[in-house]
Amino acid sequence: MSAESQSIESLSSLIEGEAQSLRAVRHEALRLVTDQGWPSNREESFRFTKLKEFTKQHFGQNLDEHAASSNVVDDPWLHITESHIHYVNGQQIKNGVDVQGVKVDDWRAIRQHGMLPEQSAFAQSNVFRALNTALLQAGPVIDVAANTKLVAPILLHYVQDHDGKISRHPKVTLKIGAGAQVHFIERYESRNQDSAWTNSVVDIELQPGAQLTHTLVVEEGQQQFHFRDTQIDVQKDANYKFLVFNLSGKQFRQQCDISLSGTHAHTEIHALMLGQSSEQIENQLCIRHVAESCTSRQWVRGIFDDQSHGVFTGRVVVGKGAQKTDAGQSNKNLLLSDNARVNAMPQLEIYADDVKCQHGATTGSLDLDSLFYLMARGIPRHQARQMLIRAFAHEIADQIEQPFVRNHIERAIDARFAGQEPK
Amino acid sequence: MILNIENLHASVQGEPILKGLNLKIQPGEVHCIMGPNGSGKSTLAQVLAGRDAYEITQGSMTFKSKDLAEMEPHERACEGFFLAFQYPHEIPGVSGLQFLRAAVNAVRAFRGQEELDAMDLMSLFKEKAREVNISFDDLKRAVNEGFSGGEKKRNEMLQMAVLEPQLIVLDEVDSGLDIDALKVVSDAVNRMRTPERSFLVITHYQRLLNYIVPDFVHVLVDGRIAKSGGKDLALELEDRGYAWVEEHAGAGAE
Repeated sequence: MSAESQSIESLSSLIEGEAQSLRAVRHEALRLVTDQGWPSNREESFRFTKLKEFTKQHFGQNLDEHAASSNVVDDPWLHITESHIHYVNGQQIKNGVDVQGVKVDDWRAIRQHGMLPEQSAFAQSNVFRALNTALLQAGPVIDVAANTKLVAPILLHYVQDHDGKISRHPKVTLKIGAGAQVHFIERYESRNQDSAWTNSVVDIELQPGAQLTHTLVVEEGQQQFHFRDTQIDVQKDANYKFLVFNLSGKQFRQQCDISLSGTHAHTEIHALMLGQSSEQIENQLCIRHVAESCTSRQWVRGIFDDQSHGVFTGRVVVGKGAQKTDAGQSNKNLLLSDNARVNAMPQLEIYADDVKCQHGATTGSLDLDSLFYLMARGIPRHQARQMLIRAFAHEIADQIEQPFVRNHIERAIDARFAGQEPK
Repeated sequence: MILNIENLHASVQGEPILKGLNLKIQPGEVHCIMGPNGSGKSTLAQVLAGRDAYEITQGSMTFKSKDLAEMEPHERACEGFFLAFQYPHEIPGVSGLQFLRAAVNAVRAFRGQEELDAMDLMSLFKEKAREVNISFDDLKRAVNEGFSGGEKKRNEMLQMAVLEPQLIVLDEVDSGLDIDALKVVSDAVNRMRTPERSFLVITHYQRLLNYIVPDFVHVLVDGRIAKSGGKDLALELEDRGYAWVEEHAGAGAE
């Protein structure tokens, strides 16, 4: 499949009835896709990305706006907060957010009014973001007013259970007003094993003094591809905390660009990648220190079994004006099989002189001394192994505040690696 | 008989360390193995516990008439074997409570007993922790992580007390301990002494034996027991040094 053939097919029917100005943006984005085509492994940021299998696929798009499955069972996730926005097969089926100071729209509605996704959203970026602009159907636009302090999290729940090879191109837009405090949970789940492709774009703006804890949970099927482009602007004194849990999915690739654009802004990323079978999980993080006296931390851990493959790039760019930057990153990987592998690349680009940057990366297998110590106290081998795997993930999982979410992650870790006898 | 080791040969990476060791331990006995560095003391402890880095090339070892070599490390522990490690391992991310809970219930499951519920476990751990001077809050910390040498040894004693094993091997439990910590550790051991339970105390120094009084003392030289005797042998060793036994090695062996 070529990038263009699939897109053009979908596009013409999609944009029918849209405002002329929006159609122009769509066509421009599509032209970019057509010019560039799919990326290749010769490009630095796609060096390790498995592209062969993905580009062989042919995904259709679900254009039926009423095709959302009625099968919205009583999902326990929807009980963790009243404020949930529920999407099934790319269509919004419920918006339960009813809180003072929070406004939730959907791109579907906005499109009809002819409003544009900002030009900047695809101007400087890659083919996937451009394709999202061209084919975007739906996705929440969340606006939190200044000084709004939310007690309960906002949950964005994406469920996929459509049969057939479907692609979806959701766009999530989040604006946190000055001084507001928000917890945003985003979860992607697939309930079938059909091949599907999610091409998501997430744009977040934190205005001065805003605080956002953002938890991403990806639990997709063995035939599901998920490419994601995330751009975050963290303004003066704002605090962005990003928790990433890659629990399953055939291929996940996130390009996440965080800009610390105002003084004393802070960001921290805690990511846990769990790989099995031939899954590939890729987190390309880039933190741009633009303003003075900002701090950033990246804690990334990966557990990889079978022939799975992890890719982590932790890029820190410290601009000329970003004196007194304090940046740190730590990446630890646990390989449970001889065929699992990880490519970990810290990248520092520093143009200021008064800067503190630390990084460290380790990759190893399960510690045999620890295993022996546990067994020497009567704990059977598979249980000891399970305890050590869980312990390795613990530091990241422990960052989750909601007991339900934390338990869910811990159970997922156990279920993925631990029940089995060691190889 | 609790432990019967006959003509045991073991090597690590092809290098022979134990070269025909014999040792019999009856219920209720406290044996002590002393010996110079490199004589094979710690190797013996690791081999008994089932560390797979060591290869048994000859001989046999049975624990309550069962062949130890045929058992996985956790099976040995569940049968009632306990090794107090010379260097207790740190396990980040696993709390002391989790560890103890998993160990107690694994051992109970192996013995066909019901799991203890959280309440019973807590009161058990609290009681035993108090005995070895460990605060309950310390049990919430990761196993041995950031603990001092003395604290780690007390953790070993806590595990021992909780698991109630039948044969306890103490591998240089006195190393790195000041006199107060030594007293806590030896009190913990002495509290465990019963007519059914046996101990094998491995140490380099006689000092420990002032606190844990053995029934038998063996001197290990070059992978074999070169001399055996009562507790007075330790005092004699202290007086004359290991060179005295090494000179007579062979002559004093069985």
